[in-house]
Amino acid sequence: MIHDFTYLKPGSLKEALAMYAEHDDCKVICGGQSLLIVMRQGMISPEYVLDIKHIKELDYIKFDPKDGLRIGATTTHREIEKSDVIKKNYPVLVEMERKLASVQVRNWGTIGGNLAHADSAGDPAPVLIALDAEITVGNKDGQRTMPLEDFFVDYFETVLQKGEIVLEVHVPAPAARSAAAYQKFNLLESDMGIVASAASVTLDENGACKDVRIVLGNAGPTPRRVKRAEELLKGKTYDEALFAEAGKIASEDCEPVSDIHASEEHRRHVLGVLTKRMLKKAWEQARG
Amino acid sequence: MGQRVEFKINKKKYSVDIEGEETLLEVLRDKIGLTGTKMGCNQGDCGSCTVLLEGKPVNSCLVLAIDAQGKGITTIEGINDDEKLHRIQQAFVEFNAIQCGFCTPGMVITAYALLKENPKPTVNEIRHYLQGNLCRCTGYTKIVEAVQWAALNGEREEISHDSVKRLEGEEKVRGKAVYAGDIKKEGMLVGKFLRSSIPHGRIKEIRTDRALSHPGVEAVITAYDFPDRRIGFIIHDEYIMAKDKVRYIGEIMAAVAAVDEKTAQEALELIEVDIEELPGVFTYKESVREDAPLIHEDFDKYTTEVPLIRDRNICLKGRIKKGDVEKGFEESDEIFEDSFTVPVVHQAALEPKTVVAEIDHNGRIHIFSGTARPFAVQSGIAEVLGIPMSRIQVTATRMGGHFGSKGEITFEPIVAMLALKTGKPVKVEMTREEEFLAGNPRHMMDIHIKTGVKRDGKIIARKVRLEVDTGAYAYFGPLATSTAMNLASGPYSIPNIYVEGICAYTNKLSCGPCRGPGAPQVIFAGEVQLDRIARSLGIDPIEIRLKNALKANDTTATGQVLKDGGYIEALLALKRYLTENPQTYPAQDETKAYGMGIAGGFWGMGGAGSSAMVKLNEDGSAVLVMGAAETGAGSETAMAILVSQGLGIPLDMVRVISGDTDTCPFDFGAIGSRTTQAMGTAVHRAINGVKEQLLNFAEGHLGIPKDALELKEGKIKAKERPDISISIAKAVHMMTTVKGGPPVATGTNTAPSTPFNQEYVEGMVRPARPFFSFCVQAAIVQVDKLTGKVDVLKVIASHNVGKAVFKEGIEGQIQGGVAMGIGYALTEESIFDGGRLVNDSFLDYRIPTVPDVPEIIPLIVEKENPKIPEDIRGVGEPATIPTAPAIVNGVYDALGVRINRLPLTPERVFRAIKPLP
Repeated sequence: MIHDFTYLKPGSLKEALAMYAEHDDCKVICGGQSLLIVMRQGMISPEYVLDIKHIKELDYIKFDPKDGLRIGATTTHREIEKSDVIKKNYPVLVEMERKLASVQVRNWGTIGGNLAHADSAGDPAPVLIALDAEITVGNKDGQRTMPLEDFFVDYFETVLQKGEIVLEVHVPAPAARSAAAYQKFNLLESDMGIVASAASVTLDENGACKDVRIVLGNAGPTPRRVKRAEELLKGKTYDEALFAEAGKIASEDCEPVSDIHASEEHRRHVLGVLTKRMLKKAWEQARG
Repeated sequence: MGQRVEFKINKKKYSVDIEGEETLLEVLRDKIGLTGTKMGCNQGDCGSCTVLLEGKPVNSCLVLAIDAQGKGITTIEGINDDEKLHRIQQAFVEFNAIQCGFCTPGMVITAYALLKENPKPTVNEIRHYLQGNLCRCTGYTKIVEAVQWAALNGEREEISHDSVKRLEGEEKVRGKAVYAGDIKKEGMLVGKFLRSSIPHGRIKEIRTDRALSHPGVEAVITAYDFPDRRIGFIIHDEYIMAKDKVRYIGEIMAAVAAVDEKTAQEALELIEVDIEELPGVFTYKESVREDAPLIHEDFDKYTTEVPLIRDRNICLKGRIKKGDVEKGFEESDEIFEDSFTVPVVHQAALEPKTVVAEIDHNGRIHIFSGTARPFAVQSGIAEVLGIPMSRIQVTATRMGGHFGSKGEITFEPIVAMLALKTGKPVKVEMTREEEFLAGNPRHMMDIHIKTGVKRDGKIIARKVRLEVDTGAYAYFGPLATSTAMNLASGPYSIPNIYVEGICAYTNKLSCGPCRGPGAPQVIFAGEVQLDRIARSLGIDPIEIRLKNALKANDTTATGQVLKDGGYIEALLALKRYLTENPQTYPAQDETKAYGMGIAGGFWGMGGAGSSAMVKLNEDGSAVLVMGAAETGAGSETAMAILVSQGLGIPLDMVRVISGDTDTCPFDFGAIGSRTTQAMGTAVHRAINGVKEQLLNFAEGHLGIPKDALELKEGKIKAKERPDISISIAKAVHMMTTVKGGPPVATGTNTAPSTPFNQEYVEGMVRPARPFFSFCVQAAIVQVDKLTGKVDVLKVIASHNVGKAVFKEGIEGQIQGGVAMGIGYALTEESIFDGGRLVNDSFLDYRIPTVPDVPEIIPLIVEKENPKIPEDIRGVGEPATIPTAPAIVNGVYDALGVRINRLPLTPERVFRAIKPLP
C-alpha cells in the first residue's frame, strides 16, 4: 500500500519548476516504475508527488548530424528503443533498451526518471557515459549542464538540488569509425544487471585507438569509468591480449558489493570478462 | 482528499472517486469491478496486471490511476468488441495455452499489443516481447505457439492446434474466470495479519484495545479467540495463530478486519506486542545439537496422526532397512559416496492465496478460496473453530496456480473467525511478500548417499542419510522426509538399502508440499550420483538405468511389491527419440561448452478417496459433479473426456461442477498427482452406473438384449443392427417421464491397499504408495565457461502416463513442470540470514521468464493396450522431478565438473571450474 500523498500535476515545465520550488517534502514522479515500488515498500513517503511525465516539452528525441542526439527527460524507454534515428546512429542504445526490464516497464518508464533514480544497476547510465553524454538539469532559476558521469554521487543519490529536475540528455554526434557495446550479466533475460560493462571505441584512420571509454555498471555506488584501462588502449591497435589486460584492470578498478546475487570476487571477475568482450565487440564494429 | 476522475476504459466512460495514491490496478479491480486484470506481485515483476494505456501494454500496478485519467485504457474485457473471441484469445483456447488462467489476461493483452505493433513476429520476437509476463504453469511453449498461430491468422497450417480444448479456457481468456480475489460482497471487510518480526520468542502479551477502538476497525483477534487446540498435518504442534510463542518471522500473531485496507494496516500498527526474544535455531545442524534451544518445549505432549519417533527438535526420525547394506558394500566392485544440498524453493503460484468468508442468513460460514482440498478446509475449520462441519461450506473458486501451495488449510479459519466476529464478509489476500515470508515452500535437504555397484553397473547396495529442515512447525516435514526416504532408491531395484531420514525444527517458515514433496530433492541426489557412476564405469546413462530399473514384481525400498513398472518404457522412448533425432550442438570453444545430461525419476502418487456423480439431462447432455477442484492442471477437462468417451456424447455436452463441499461428493484433494487416476476411477464407475441404467431402459424399449447394445454418437445402438437405436436424449426424456427421474449414478473409489514390509521400516509416514509414475528427461545445456552462466537449450521429457486421458493437458503439465525444474536447477532459492528471509519478491527470487525456457519436447508414453481407469498415472509432479539433475548432468557433460548444490548459480559453476581467489 502506498502512503497518502497530494498529487501535483503541473500544466507546463515552468509551472512544474515553480511548484517544485514551493513544496517541501516533494518527490518528482516521471513514470514511477521504480519510485512506486519504493513508495509501496514504505521506504519513502513524501507529502507531495509532482508528476512531470505528461509534460510534452520534455518528450522529444532530436538528432542533428553535428549536434548529436538530444533526448528529453520524459521520453520513455520504449520511444528510445523504437526510434529509427537512434537505431541508425546509436544502435547500442537500442540494444540496451531492448533488455531493460520488460515492454510494460519500458512503455511507462522514462529516461529522466531512470537517471534521477540513480540505481547503480540501471542500464542507461553506463551506456550514455560511454557515449560521452551530458545531462542538463534545471530549476525555476535556471539550468546547468554537466557530463553525465558527474551527475551521480552515491547509491540512489545525484547532484540534483532542491527544486531541480532532469531536463535533457545530450549525446555527441557519433565520430567516424566509432562504435559502442554494452552487456549486462544477469540470470533471467529481463533481470537487473548483476554487473554490466559498456565500451565505446573510436579508431583513427590507421585503425589505432583514438578514443575509448569504458564504463562499469553496478560495480560501485555510481557508474564508473575505467580510466586506467582507457589510457592503456589509446593509440594501440587491435590486440585481444590488450583487451584482456583492460578487462583485468576493470576487475581491479571497481568496488562492487557482495550480496545474494553474487560475491564481490565473482562480480569483479565477470566485470573483467564483460569488459574484454565489449571492447572486442565495439572495436570490431568500429573497424566496420 | 478524494477526487472525482473520468476514465475511458474499453471505450466506455467511468466516473470514479479516487485518492492520489491509488494505482490503476486498484481502481480497475476494486472501484470499477473489471477484475479480469490480476494482481500477482504488485511491483511490476509478473505482468499479470497488464493493460493497454494509450494502446501500449503497461503494468497497471505501477501506474497511478490519476495519471491514467483521460487516457484510453483497454483491459482484457475490452479486446473483443462483440461476443466473439478476439483472434488472440481464440488462439490461446485452440492451443491450450492456458492452465490456471491467472496470468492469461495479462499474457493475452501483451500478445495483442505485440501483434498490433508487429503483425508478423518471429518466434524470438514473441519470446522477447512476452518476457515481462510470468507464467508458472505452462512452461510458455503453448503460449508461444498460440501467438505464432494468431499472427499467421491460420494462413499456414504447419502449426497444428490441439484437438481437445480445455472446458474453462474461454472464461479464462475473457478474464471472466472468478478467483477468490475477484469476489466482492456487500459490506465486505478487509482482513490483515500482524506477523512476527522476530524468529523466536515468548509472547508475554498482545494488547489489541487500541487497534479495536480505531475508527473503521470491526474486529481484532488473537489465538485466545479460538478453542485451545493445536493442529497439524502429521504432528499437532501449531495453534492457528501464535499463542505461547512465536517461532518464525512471519508467523501470524493477530488479525484485523476493517472497512478498508488502509484502516486495517493502521490497526495492525496499533496492536501492542510484548515478546521476550529467545535464542533462535536456524539450520538443521544447529537444531540437532544436544544443547540447542528447544523450539517446542512441549513436544512430547503433542499428539500425532501416526506413531513417530521424535526427540527434542527432531520431529521425525525414520529408518528403512532392507537386505544387508554393509554386506552389499563388501560385495560391490566400486563404491561411490556423495553429499548434496538443495535449497528452499517456492511454488510461486502467480495468484497470492486469498480467502473470502461470509456468514449466511442461517449463520453458516461460507468460504470461497482457490483451494485444491475444499473438504480438508471444511473439516479443518470445523476442528479449529470447534463447530460442526455442517455449519461450513467451502467453495473452491478458480485457482491461480497450486503446486502444493493451495492444498492444505492455513489461514482459512482465521478469516472464518473474523467473519463470525463481525457478522460481515471478510476477504484476506496475501501480498507477494507474505507469500515468500510465510508460505509453505519446498524443504531444503542435505543428502548423503553411498552406492555400491558391480562393474557391470548393477546397483547392489545404497545407504542414504537425509537431513531435513522443516522450519518452525512439522507441517509437511515428516511426510516429505518419509517420501524422500521411500524414493531414495530412485526408480531402481536395489537389494540392500539402508535409509535414515531426520527432520528437524528450525526458526524459519514451515515448509510444505511443493510439486512432489521429498522427490525432487532425493531424486536429484540419486540421479547426479548415478551419472557419476555410469561415467566412471563407462556405461551409457540410459543403459545403466535400464539395467537397474524397477519393474513389475520388484520390491521397493520399503518392501512394497510393484504391480507394474513403467520406467523401462519411458527410458526406451527417450532412447528411441534420441536415436531417431540425434541431438547436435556446437563443439566446445574458448568461451562456450555444451553438453547433454540424462536423469530419471519416479513418484509415488497420492491415494485416498474420491467420489463423483453423473446425471443426464433430457437433451442428452451430462453433468458431472465431483469434489475435485480444478487447479489449472486440467482435471475438469480430463474427467469430462472420460464422460464423453464413456457415454459416446460430444465433449461440449458435458458440464462439470466441482470443488464445492455442499453440492459435490467428497474428494481427498487435487494433490499428489492423484486426480486423473483416483477421481477418474470414481467418475468411471459413475459413468458405468448411468450407462447401466440407460442400457436397461433401452433393452426393454428396443427389445434388444443390453449386451448387444452400445453407446455411440449420442445414441444407444444395437451393435449388429444399425437401423435400431434410440437417442440418449430421447431415452433420458422417456426415463424422466416414466420413471420420474433421469439416469443418475455415483461412483466412489479409494486407493488399493498397498502392503509393505513392516520389518523394513521404522518411524515413517506412508511407507507405501498405491501407484508409481515413471519418467526420464534429457537436457541440453550451454555453459559460458568464463562467467559460469548456464542456459538450457532443450529438454526432452519422456513420461509414462499409463493411459493418456487429456493429452494436450499432459503436454502442458510436462512443459510447466520442466520449466519449474529449470528454476530449481538454475535460479531459484530462498535465501536466509539467520531467521530472516532476504529475497521476498520476484525481482530477487527468480522464476524463469519466456526467453529462459527452451524448447520442451514431451514424449507421452502409454502402456500397451492401456485400460481406463486402472492404467492412468499422474504427471503433475513427475514432470518437475528429473529436470534439475538432467541439467546438472548436462553441465558435467559440458565441463567435466560436478556441482552438488542447487541452484547452479553462475558463481557456483564458475568456482567449480576455476576457484576464485
